[in-house]
Parts: sequence; C-alpha cells; structure tokens
Amino acid sequence: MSGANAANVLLTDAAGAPILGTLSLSSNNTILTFRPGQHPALEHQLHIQRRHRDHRYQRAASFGACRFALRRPQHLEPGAARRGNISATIPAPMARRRLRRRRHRRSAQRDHDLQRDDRHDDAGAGDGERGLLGHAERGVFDKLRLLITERTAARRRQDLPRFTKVNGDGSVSVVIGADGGRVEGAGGTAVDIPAAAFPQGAVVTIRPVPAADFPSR
Amino acid sequence: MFAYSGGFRLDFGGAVPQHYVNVSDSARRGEHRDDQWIVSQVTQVNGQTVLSMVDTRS
Repeated sequence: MSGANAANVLLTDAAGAPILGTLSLSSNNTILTFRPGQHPALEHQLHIQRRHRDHRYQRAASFGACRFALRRPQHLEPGAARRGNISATIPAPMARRRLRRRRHRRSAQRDHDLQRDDRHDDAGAGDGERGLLGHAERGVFDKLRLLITERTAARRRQDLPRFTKVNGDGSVSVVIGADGGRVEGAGGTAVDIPAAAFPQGAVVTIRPVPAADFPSR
Repeated sequence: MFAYSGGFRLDFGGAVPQHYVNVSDSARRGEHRDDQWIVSQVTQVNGQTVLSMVDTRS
C-alpha cells in the first residue's frame, strides 16, 4: 500500500464512532499498524477513504470499509484470572505452603492477599519475586481464596484450585475434601471421587503404569 | 484374548474411600466402542501375582 496516512485510514467501533490512535506503516509499506489510544472495542470497522496502490502487485487495491472483530486480550479481561494461572503446593504437615502465580501483565496493577476460606484471615501478601504470592501456615484441607485488590480499591475474592502436586515419578497428587472431586493423571488417566467418599479428606495420588511395568507373571 | 490397554496406580494416603470411586483412561488407537474391557486389580494370592477382576469398562 502506498500513500497511507492517518488522514485516509479511519477505525471506528460498531456504532461508527471514530477510535483515535496512532498509525504507523512498515518500511516497505506492507504492514499498517494502528494503536488505539483508548480501550479497544470488540467490533470494529476499518475505513480506507482514498484510493491506494497495492505495493507488491502495482495495481489498484479496493477501497471502502470492512468489518472485523477483535478478541479482547486476556490481560484486559475483567474478572477471574486465567485458569491454571495460580497454583498452590500441598503442604507437608506443620509446613508452610507456597502460592505461586505465573508472571502476568496485570500483576503490576493489583495487590494480592491470601485468605483462608473459613476465617478470612490474611495469611500472606504481596507480589514477590518470580511470582511467589506468599506463604501460609494452614491445614492441608483448607480452602483458599485469593483476595485481589484493584488500584481502584475494588476487592474481589477468587477461589483457588485444590492443592495439586506433580511428583517426581510423574504421578499427580491432589487434596480431596469431603465434597469429592476429580484427579487427572498423565496419559488421560483419572479418578472421580464422589462426595463423602473421604469425610476427613485425603491426598489422592494417581500414577499411570505403562505396559512395560505391568506384572506379566 | 485380551491385551493390556492401560493401567494406573492409586494411592489414597492410607484413607479408605467410603463410596465407590470411578476410574477412567483414554482410549488407545485401534480401540472400538464395541470392544470389551476388563478392569482388574493386581494382587498377591499365595505368593502368586494374579489379576482380580473388579469391574467392566464402558
């Protein structure tokens, strides 16, 4: 494309309202980049208001308007954190458990506090190094919630997944409470545990057994 | 003639489930829904390793 500039390229939302932003063109005039100066909408309409030449084929390119949808980036998505983004190790008896979170772009915008479900007592806090959220001296069957405080002071609680651990032999251990649950191991193996199967809770471990390890005699 | 389709070891950490638990495994290549499977537990009887059939699989 040649002759492109901010005056003849216009991006609007679905209602036709212009979306202001900056326009840049690659050195060979083949890639047009528009960076919106405001929160992007999900539905857009691109208007090219002048006639341009296709730079590669040297022929007139069509001009007019086209619609396209934008998938909202995850880091702008309000609400819950992405599944699998936060994990909690299974604590040894009388030991501290660690909560880790993968590095995330929105981490700089939020503070985190760790709470236990029943007492709501803050147990750890802060955005530590390498995504470490904090430590907590709690029982293995506690349910944990993460209290996320936005910069706007809005607070939201999010349930953390069950304590899970991938062991050195490839087995997977999951803490199951009285409400039951599902433990998924490697290779598509799984065990479904109904409610009340373990009234006091249990740490369930599943490990696939390959054919080579199966006792044949 | 049955072939080994898959297996796993379960550990409840010393606890005993008060209700039946269901186990599952992914289908292997070449398996068909009309095939028949037997779920067995590896156990020892008089020093011999035997398979104790515990369930069928669907």
